[in-house]
Parts: sequence; C-alpha cells; structure tokens
Amino acid sequence: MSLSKKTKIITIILISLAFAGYGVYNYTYKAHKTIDELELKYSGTSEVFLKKIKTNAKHWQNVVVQLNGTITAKDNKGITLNHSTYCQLDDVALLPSLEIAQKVTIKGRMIGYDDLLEEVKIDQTIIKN
Amino acid sequence: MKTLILLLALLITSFASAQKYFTKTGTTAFKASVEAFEPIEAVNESTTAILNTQTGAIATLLFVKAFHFEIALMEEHFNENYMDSDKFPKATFKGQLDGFSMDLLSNADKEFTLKGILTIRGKTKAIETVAKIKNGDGNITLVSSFSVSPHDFDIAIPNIVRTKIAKDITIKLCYELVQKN
Repeated sequence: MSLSKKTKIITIILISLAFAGYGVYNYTYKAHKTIDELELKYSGTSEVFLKKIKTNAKHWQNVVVQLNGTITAKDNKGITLNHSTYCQLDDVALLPSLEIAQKVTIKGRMIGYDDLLEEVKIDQTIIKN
Repeated sequence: MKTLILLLALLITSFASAQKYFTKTGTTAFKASVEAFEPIEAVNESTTAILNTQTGAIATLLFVKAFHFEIALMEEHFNENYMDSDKFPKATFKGQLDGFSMDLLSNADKEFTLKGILTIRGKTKAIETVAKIKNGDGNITLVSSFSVSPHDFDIAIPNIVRTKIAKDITIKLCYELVQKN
C-alpha cells in the first residue's frame, strides 16, 4: 500500500512540528550550568584576586574563579578565606570536614564585592582538594 | 594622656561593633507571577544585611545576578533584558526600624514599622512596611515583605509579555542575624 501524496506531506509536517516543539522545549527549559561546566576566568590565591577586584570590580562580576587560601572563619552556610573572601558552599554538608586554619582550593562563582562587609562574595562554592 | 585616649577610643569602637547583628546569607525572594502562566519567581540566598541594634538602622545589599530562577532562560532574560545587571549589579536598602530596642524583643514575633530607601537599577523608592522581629537563642530573625512595581525602577516590560508579568511584584525578606564580633 503506497501512501497518497497528501498523507506524506501531512506526515512530514507533523514530524517536523514535533522536532520543532522538542527544540523549543529544550531551549526554554534548558538546565542551569554547573560551576564545572562554566569557563574558569581566574585561578590563583585569594589575596591576589582581591587586589584585582579592587582595581576593576566590574570586570570580575559573575565569573567562575578558582582560589587558594586559608580558612579564617566558618558559619552555617560557608567559609571565609584570608579574612576577605566569603564562599557560600554549594553543599553545606561539607562544612564539618572544613577546619579553621586549613588550606583549601575552592571553585565558585564570584558574585561581587560586598562593600557593606568589605569582602569578596562567592557562591555555588565547591571544594577542590 | 595619649594612651588613655587611645584606650578609650578602642573601648568605644569595640562597644559600638558589639551592637551590630548581621548575615551574609539572608533570603530575599520576589514573585511577579500571574495566575495561569509560568510562575515568575526567584530567590537570592546571598543577601548581606546589617542591623544596628542600638539605633534600629538597617542596611542590606544584594547582587542581582545571585537571584536564582527555576528556569535558566528566565534568569538570563531577567538579568539581560529587565534588570540590566551588568550595568547595575547591586540592589540596596537602607532603612530604619521605628522605636526599635533590643529590650522589646522576645522569642515571639514583634512588629515594627520599617521605613527606608530601596535602590534598584540606580533608581530609588521610599518603602514603608512592617517587619516581624524575634530574638531566639541570641539570633535575631527579621521577616518582612512589601511590593513594588517595575515602573518604579524604569523597567520596561514589552507588550508581548505584559499580561504574564504581575503589575505588583512582591518582595519577601527573611534574615537571620547573628552578633557581629
């Protein structure tokens, strides 16, 4: 049994509509990118990074950074590196394993320089070592 | 004499700093949903808030890009098309709790009038609302809400989405403040 021309055209239209619909859905409901999927813009010590921010704060907003530093404080959501960089953890269950004075490498998203508390603010932090 | 003055100055500063309660991870959420459409709401869990318990003065600061939406594309549009957050990364609120005193707080909510200036996209708006405050285990919890309109901050909503975004946007705050050393 061969399909009529009309049926073929309708089938092709329906299939392309289904593909288009799938594409639109994927575009609209695409997932958030994780920290590891985003491009790393700075890697180094938290002190040097602080100096860079102080000279050009706007350039460093909303970028992924990897920082080395010493933990100087802890609260129930994150850690502070070298008295100047607050890192809000992605997974707070890691907090008990982090100690004050411990050296760590973190990766997270720099959200901005908090001038109320005069510190760098990083969220979605993951511990690299 | 100089040492005495220095000592006094040191004492005063340590006394003054002991009067501050703060958080770095306060929750600020907003809702601009219209029924029957995709919910438009986002949460910022990295809000800095400082309360001077001697004067009742409040200062808060948040980064617009730290608002998290359920839908990634909505977050992109929010930052690029509406909030222009590359140009205006911060939103701030500076205000005052009327008649605030630590002595009035207990572990039950107490209501205070909160007045202040909200700055978004470099535009300011006077806010007056009620804040519920309690003091439990040495931590102060401040909960409040108020509404604003996109128009207040010169945020243009294109015609095509106008019916899907609420005219009044409700902003809710919940800050758990701990004593600042």
